[in-house]
Amino acid sequence: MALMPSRVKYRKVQRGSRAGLAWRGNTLSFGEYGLKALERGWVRGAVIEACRVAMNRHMKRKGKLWVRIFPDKPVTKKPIETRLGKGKGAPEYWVAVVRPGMMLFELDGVPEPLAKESLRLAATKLPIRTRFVSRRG
Amino acid sequence: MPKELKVEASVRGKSGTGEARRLRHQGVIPAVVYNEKAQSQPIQLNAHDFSKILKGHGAGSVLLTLVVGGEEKKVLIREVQRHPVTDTILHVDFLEVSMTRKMRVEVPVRLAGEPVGVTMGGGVLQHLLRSVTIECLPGDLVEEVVVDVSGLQVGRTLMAGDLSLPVGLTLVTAKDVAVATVTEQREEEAAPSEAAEGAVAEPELVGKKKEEEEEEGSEKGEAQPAKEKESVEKKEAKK
Repeated sequence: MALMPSRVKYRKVQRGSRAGLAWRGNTLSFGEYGLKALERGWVRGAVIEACRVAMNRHMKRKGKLWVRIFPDKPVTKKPIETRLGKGKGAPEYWVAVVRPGMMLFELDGVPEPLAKESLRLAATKLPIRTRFVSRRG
Repeated sequence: MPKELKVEASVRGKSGTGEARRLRHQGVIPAVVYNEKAQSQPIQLNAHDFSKILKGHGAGSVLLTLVVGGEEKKVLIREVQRHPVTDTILHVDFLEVSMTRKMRVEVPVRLAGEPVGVTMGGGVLQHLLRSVTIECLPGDLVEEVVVDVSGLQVGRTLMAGDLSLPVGLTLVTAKDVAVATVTEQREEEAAPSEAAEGAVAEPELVGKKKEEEEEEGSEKGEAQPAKEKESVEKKEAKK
């Protein structure tokens, strides 16, 4: 099941702004290695889940993984072959708003080559450019 | 012994966003040095030289000698502001320290060795606390606290109180805070079913239950007459 909030105040929200940089949540807070966003965009809950599964499979259940983003924004879509009007469409999926600099995933407890490859696998699934970062610089 | 590094700086005349931005374009970092009496002085550093000094050292726990206009000051780095994407240094805060007065500093904790719980027990080492606060004289400051975790077994936790600090250093961080632990490997999480993936479940709305109850109550009393009124109006319009 893709990630989504358990309770929300409103079913539908406006698109909002993706402007600016990630001035918060841009550092390694938990792990030794991480994946940093270099572009802005919406990342779907299903994509985050796919990244998580791919990383865990590659690490063979070793190490620890932190997912630093959460899809808390609903995106609606109107049914196909529908005329304009008649109100906003139904919620289709959930996204996380990602700004440049945001730390998306963090890893610890695995050697650097394994962490690098795991995060590379996750990066291929994301709709934005990313960079591998480590505490050692 | 702490490493004493020398940083050349000059007094910064102008302040503000625009001036700071101009300096950064010229390869200069805007910085500030202040002391415990809250007296501050804006300064500027060469970005390339400072980055080289900073590389490989724990930023907060290195005693530096700051040379500002020929005057030498013993300082600690209080904060290094970096760009979220490029990671370049935007601004540095220095704290001038007195060599005879005790101070509190955040010192990084480095784990040394491979725990028995990882090599033999197949556990996972988790580094929970990356830095500890210590109290000491600037002369006794260490760059990092190294802890040997090779004896750690699965399920065992190393606490802050277990750290062996060099003479002259006092631990300020609570002793019962976990520094590192070796946990068992987690079970593989069940793959989500395809049926569940396909269906778009909706989350519960905050305050929905209350509204529904209120609506139900109001509908019983008002909704019916309103519908009747509408139907009567339509009939009249047809006539």
